[in-house]
Amino acid sequence: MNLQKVWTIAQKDVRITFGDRNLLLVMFAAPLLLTFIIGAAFSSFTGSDGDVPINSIAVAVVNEDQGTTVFLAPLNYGAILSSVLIPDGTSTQTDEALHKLIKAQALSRQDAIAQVDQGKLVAAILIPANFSASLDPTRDKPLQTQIAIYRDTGSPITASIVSSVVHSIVNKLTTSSLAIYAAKAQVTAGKASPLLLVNPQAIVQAINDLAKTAFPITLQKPSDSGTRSASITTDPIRYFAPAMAIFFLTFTMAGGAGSIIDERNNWTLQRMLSSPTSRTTILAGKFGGTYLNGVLQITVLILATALLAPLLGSHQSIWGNNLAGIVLITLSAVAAAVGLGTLIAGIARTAQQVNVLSNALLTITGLVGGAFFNIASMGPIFQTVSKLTLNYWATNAYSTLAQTGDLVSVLPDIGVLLLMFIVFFGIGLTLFNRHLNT
Amino acid sequence: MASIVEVRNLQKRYPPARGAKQGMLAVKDVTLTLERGEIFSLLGPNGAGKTTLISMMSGLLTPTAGDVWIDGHSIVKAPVAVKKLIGVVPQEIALYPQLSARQNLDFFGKLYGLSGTELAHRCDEVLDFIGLKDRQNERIESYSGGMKRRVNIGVGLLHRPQLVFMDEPTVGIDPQSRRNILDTVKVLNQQGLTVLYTTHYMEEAQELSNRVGIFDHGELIACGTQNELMQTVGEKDTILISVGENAESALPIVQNVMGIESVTAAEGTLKLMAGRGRQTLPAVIKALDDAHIMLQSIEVKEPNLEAVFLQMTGRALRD
Repeated sequence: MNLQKVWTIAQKDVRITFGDRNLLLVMFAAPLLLTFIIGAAFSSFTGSDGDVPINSIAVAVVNEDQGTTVFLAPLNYGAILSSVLIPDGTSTQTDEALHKLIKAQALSRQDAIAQVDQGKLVAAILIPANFSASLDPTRDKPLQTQIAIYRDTGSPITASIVSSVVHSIVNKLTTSSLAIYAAKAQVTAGKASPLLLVNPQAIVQAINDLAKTAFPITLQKPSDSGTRSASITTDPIRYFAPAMAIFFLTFTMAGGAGSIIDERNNWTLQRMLSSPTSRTTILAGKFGGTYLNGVLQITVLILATALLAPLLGSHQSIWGNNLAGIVLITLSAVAAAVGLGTLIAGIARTAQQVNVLSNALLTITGLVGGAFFNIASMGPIFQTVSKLTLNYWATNAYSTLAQTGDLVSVLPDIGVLLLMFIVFFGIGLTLFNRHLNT
Repeated sequence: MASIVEVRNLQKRYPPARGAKQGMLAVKDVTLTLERGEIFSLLGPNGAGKTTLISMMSGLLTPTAGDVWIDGHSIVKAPVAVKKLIGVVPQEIALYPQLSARQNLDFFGKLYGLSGTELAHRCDEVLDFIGLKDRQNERIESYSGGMKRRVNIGVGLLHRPQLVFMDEPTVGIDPQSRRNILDTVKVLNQQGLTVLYTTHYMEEAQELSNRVGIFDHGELIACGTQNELMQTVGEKDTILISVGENAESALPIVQNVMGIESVTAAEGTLKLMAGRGRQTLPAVIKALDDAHIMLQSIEVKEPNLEAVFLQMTGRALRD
């Protein structure tokens, strides 16, 4: 394979693409226009600043605390924690604010985890069996224990809110518990009489010392649900910018892959084949040019939407700040789209068939994959079907990266896109070769 | 002259269509040679298989049987070496309409291994040669048919091939542009280029060729110089005179005219064979006039390739 000639052919295709005004309208103007029109339309449901007010975060509280007995009286710190989170009709004003933010219910461990996995709950707060025992003031010192939070990674923001709330409640419980130990230590040391003198400063110092050495109750690092619900972004434009970009990318790539049929009809393919240029080089050049067009298309759309979105009221960074992640997602999404385009062109026999197949198949995959509405708002069956499309994985990857900034969290999406490229391109190329038999 | 092209038993059978047992045999066992520096015309009607033959010779199609050697290199075994030696001017306008003439030449020149100043210089030369240097930066889609044909030829000459295949290069263009292309072919040949030229226009084959191959239904029916081919039909002129219902009675009158070798009558038309038709015609007209036989039309046909084709295939070139 002659790389110089591959580049020559790829360059030629890019030049032809970017010299075609009609094609540029489809590649750039249409997705930009639709992004902002649909995004603006959905913004009217989410408030003037485009943010979704955060409330009623659904969580489960799993209290497995066995409790303890202190001075012959039963004590269950897990129940205390649960009563703070779950309204019982006796709420104070402060409690009402908390209950408005978090909508908690008591569930078994099995049910709680299942509902998080299904996306019905944002998180499950798992209170361990030895929670109260670890805080038993009759012990010499508090034992270590951990509260676990099992979260839906598709809702990272609300899950972290839950973590913060639980953390603050746990802190209060812990401080109270430590106070008891500190007072006990004073008495034991003969520095204070339980009935008479109590040195408050010493108690505070003792609490601090205890806290430094071993905070008895900590939050376990949140574990993630194995499944992930589609993320619900708070800014519609943040969703539709990548969704539209990917949707129109698929059409560009199908057209690029199918252009070899046009070249056969126009005899420019035969002209290339009659030169001392191998079929492999010609194919590599054609697909390379198509790929390059795709990368350029997405890059321009990313830059354009990032620049224009603030003008239309979007206050969030549409694509996020993780440049490496954006690049990786783009490269893999374009590859998957080239693969799909090659498959379509391989199946078709004529240029007209490429057009018909592209229009039908890519419109369906766009609809199902979430180009025109947020998949997270659809039912579980639809969400499952959407995962058959590259639109879903690419859009989800961009959205998740923009929200979390975490490249690792989108590696599965990138992996799926690359797998799609391998499968689609492999099958498509096998079928495609017959187009070179002029 | 040494041979530059040897075609031996070349055959092409296409894959069978659905339901068919055997595919179409488009080219049947063709053997021919081209001498270095000649213009060889392949004359035949549309659908004869000329393009299929040229496609195999230029490496676009794989032969079902046989081989082609160009300057000693086999198209089957060493296609890359062959492709460096040949230029192809297809019947279709094989150019990118969205690019300019210059950009097309630049692109295809790179595929032939040209680059840098050599490519730029060669593009300039070709544009000069085809007379389009002042419009080199305009898109092909803005060109007339004749201009497109010229660029089409130019691309085939970029890499200075030893041999160029021209497949019906004058189809669909105006007479002036056709004249221009024919003159271009002659100039190229004078510069030493060997040309294989396919056409269904007898006049082009007659004007350009050293040798002509008569091609029909995938077969090379006859091959030789124009004189050799015309001798197969004899060197006699044909005079056709329409006399209507008097044809039978006119037969004995014209038979006796000096210079007339044979006469037949059919459907109101006398068909006379004469060694020198134009010189004999006045005497024939006088004889018929003296017999008060009215002449409706007169046509003199001198021996030509169309007559050769008609003789050998039983049908006209433009059927």
